[in-house]
Amino acid sequence: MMLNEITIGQYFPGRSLLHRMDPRVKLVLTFAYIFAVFVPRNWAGLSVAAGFLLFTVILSRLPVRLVFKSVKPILPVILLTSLLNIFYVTGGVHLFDWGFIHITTKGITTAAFIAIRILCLISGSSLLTYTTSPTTLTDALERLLSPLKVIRLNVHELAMMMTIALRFIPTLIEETDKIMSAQKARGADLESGGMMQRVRALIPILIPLFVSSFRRAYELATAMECRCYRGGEGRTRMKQLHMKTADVVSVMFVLLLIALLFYLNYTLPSVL
Amino acid sequence: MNIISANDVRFYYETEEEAGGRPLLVLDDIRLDIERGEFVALLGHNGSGKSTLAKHFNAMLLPSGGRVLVSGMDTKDEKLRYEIRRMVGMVLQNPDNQLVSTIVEEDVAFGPENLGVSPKEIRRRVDEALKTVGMLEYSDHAPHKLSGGQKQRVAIAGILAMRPDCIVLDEPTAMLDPQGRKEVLETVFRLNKEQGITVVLITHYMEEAVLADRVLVMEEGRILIQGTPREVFSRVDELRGVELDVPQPTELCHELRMQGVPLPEGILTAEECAQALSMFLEAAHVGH
Amino acid sequence: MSVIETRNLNYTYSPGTPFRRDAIKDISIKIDNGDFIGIIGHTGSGKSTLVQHLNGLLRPASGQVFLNGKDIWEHPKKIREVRFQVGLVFQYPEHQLFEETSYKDIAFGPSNMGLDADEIDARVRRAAKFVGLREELLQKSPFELSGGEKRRVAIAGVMAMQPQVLILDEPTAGLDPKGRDTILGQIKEYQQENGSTVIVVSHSMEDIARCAKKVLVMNRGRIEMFDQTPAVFSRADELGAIGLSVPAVTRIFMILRARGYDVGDNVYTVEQARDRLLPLLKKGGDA
Repeated sequence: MMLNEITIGQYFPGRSLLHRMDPRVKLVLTFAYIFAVFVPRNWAGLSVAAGFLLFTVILSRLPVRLVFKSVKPILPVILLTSLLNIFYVTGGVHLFDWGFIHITTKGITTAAFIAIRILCLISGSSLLTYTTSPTTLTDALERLLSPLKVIRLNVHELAMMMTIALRFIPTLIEETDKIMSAQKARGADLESGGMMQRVRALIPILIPLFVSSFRRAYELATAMECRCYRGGEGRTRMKQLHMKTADVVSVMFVLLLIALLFYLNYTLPSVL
Repeated sequence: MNIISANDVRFYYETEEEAGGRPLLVLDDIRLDIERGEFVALLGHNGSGKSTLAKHFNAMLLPSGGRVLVSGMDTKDEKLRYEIRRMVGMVLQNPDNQLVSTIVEEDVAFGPENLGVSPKEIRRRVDEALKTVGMLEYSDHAPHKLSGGQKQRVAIAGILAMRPDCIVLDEPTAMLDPQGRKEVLETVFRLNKEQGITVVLITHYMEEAVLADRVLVMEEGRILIQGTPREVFSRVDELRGVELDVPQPTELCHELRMQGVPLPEGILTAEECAQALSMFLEAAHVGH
Repeated sequence: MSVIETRNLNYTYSPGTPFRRDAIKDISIKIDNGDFIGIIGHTGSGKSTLVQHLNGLLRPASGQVFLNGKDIWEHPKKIREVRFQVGLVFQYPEHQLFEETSYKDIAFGPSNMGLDADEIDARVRRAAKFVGLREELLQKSPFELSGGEKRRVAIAGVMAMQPQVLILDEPTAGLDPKGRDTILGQIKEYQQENGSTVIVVSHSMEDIARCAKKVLVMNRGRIEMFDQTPAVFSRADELGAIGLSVPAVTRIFMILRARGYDVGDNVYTVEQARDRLLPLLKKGGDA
């Protein structure tokens, strides 16, 4: 896989309802959804939570395939937790016993349940980044955190740092790709050898990357000064954030979802 | 009226002990006035001091000796620094390293946001600036997906949104392909002619300097030659002496003149050159 | 025999995503030993993608690349050998420098080849000579050098592998006229002295005109023309149609011919133009 094919954390511009929502609301609701995913204790609840996610994906008008692609990088993690659950959770009918390993129906149920939870969690949060430009997101974060100014936390600087980091991540990924290719063209061997050898092989990539990052940082600072940047003091913003009807409706929707999930826990037996 | 005037500007870097500890002179008594609405091209090879001089025009660097006045304001006056930087916007060489935001329109808004302009007015300026540079349809794109020429035009829009009187461009086309170079130059030329914005263009490319009202050639921290493009480019030997190129048609005419063909001086384009040559070929009865 | 041959090369970036982009389509070329080839085309025309296939940095989606008649992907494990044979200097190669001294940086390629110390030393010095780097510069940190010097160190780093084919992607990008002339001159000299195959990718028709014997014109991932330099430059209208322009002197000659003057063609440099015009103009003076 080429480095620039990573989709996690990327933004796909659009004009859907989800794209136009107030980013503060989106951010809070994403956290609420992550919480919601941990509520269900039975299949009905989990299906409702997953169904809700599918519904928002459709609202976003992004290809469903794309959302699931974001899960790819963390598949190993899901696999590992599933395996651990299969081996360590016991109860129900024993399907397989060998020495200290016991595989039970309950183990499998738990593993599947948790795997789906993680899937929902990752897809849900990538949906946030897919439909919200990183700047808007940091902007939302800056405004949500602005009460912290009271405890002398410079929220503006934090947000600015995040914006710049986000702006330069694709550039640096591209650069890393290029430096790797250039060193490979000189016969650098990045794929074989032991641990130490591999770490050493990274030096020809890391040093040029550091040097260029410093150069970029210096030039960017110059450019920002040329554009009259002097910190957050007296700064205005072009984009003002307004809560709209759609935002209020979505808040109610998510609250309803959470309530429903609790209700299902209460009325149906737990499978965990 | 002058927008920028440099009065006996000297600039030197303090060097380290091992290099002898003597200050390194980069600008040596520069005297220069730039008129409002003028298009000035600043030429010189790397290390001739042209970028250093440009950074004096918006108070990014302060003279070690002498004074720089921007519309009458002394760049040494700290209270005026941001007003000077608003008035004299600067576009840098590497298009990747001067865009701050992940969305084109938000990047263009960065300058006016720093100036504390009201949100509605910023919106108006951003759209207008993007329209001027022909990038309005890209307003919600991510900068890293644009071509070099497009990025550079966004950078220009970011300056325009501050409503500057003058734009200084420090080798804005050095890292671009011919297409991108053309886009950027046409934009700059239009800004100068249609909006009357003063332009200072630093470049290696002689074809670009031809567009200017006045060409300055720098060498070792001094202004060596200045005049209209025609005047400057007729001094082919001097330009070569400071390791600069002249446009091919100019060079050809010069070479032929050296061999005794009395072609006129100051020819810049292929068309002019062909026109002049055909008169001589006519006289020589070639092909007729 | 061709040193490099490609058959029906195809490559697509980011397949299966919204950013999917065809990079090169159906490229079949033959490059003879000792050729000096210029590749020209717009950004995004596929030039850089093509050259990265020639040394096995990119693997074609379909099609084959042959080096000395052998498919380079026959043994994917041995692809490193191909990179020593086909040296590729990237655009802005100075960004890849990393060693403490220029000498060590130039030696990086040869030491990856597993050569012994004496051979490495000989190669580093030979390569440094080609790009005109003085001894004291070799012992300096590459980060202390000027832009043009850094570029030359980086180019020497690939030359020191003594590849059969040397490819340079935009070797003059971002340099001032002097730096540009120096590097072009050195590449030309290298080619003449070694008789090796050299491929230069460039935006600049003037640069290509000055050194290449054959020109490959690319447009939208396809080959538009591949011929001797004079033949390519004589098709100025077609070049213009895809947004490329011939050198200014070539255009002067085209205008003169269009006006009915018998000045001939195949003129791309100021020297050629002067030598062609002088006798014609002198004839007039004598008459």
